[in-house]
Amino acid sequence: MSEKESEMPSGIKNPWKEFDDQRVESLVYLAKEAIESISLMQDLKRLYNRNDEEEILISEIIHEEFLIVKKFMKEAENAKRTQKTA
Amino acid sequence: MQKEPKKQLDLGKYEGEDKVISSYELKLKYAGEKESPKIWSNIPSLDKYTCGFEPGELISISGPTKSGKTLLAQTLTYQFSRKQEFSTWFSFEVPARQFLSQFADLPLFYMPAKLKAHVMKWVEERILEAHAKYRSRTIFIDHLHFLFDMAQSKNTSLQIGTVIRALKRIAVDNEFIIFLLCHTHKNKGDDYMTYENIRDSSFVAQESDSVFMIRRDPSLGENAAKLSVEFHRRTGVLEKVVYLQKVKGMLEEIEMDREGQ
Repeated sequence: MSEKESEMPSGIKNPWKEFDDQRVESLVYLAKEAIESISLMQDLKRLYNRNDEEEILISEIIHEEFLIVKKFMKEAENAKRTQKTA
Repeated sequence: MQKEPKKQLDLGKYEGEDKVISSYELKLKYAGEKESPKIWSNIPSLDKYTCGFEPGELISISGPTKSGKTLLAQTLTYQFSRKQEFSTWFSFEVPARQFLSQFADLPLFYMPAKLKAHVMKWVEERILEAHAKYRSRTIFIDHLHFLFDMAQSKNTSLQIGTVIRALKRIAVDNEFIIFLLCHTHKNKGDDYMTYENIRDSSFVAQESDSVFMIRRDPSLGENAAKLSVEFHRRTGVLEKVVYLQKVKGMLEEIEMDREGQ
């Protein structure tokens, strides 16, 4: 039993667990929003010809959004792992 | 008997969206549309022999067990994602957890949360779902024999033919590029294999736009493989070889000099 859990009187819901769950949920939500943004940007990208300035700009935005997905999902994974082992 | 000429007369005025038109009208129709761009593998010789992958193509990847078929497909997935083409995967053979852990640097791609084997209709729906949600247009299926139920099949070869044609139709209708992994049948004798060694059906080679055969080649090194572009319908390439080695979990081309050393 973890330190956090041992402090909790029996029958009372662990507020830390709820907090951790919400944190994971929020991170996944933000990553999904970024994925949705990638899809919209891909629609836009296909409207422009190759090497257009707009296309380069859109590619940069997709890359930024991808980094957001990667970062948030990594954080969510870490949070879930810590929660499991706590 | 009199109905035939009347029907022909009616068809003479037919104006449906599938009406028959001249080649020039059809060309004019496409002139106003932007072509979907090709996708490159970042493996120089492979790109040279294929001139990139074009929408509507069905590419079969085959080779003996443990020869590197899945690794090649994973490498393509990784390279496509670097070019912001995020693929969709059906990994029937390798469990999802293991499959994901095989990437040293996990790229973005999409997979069904749960797999349903032997149901082609389900696969088609998930492919269309991935495109509708994420604009994914490169599809990897590992592997062919999970797309139909062999136990229920009276004629495996014909069943495979039906599946392959369905995949080709999905690729053409939606401008997707489908990569299909296929096993080979057991080869007696030497290790040399061609597209004729693909298990159970000649339909695979007949309906594919290109067939890649891959096998390990210890003479080139511990983690080396030989990839043969058996044929490529669009480029006309036949039996061209690309030498590959596994570096940091992905395949890279080995540069060979003129003597092949």
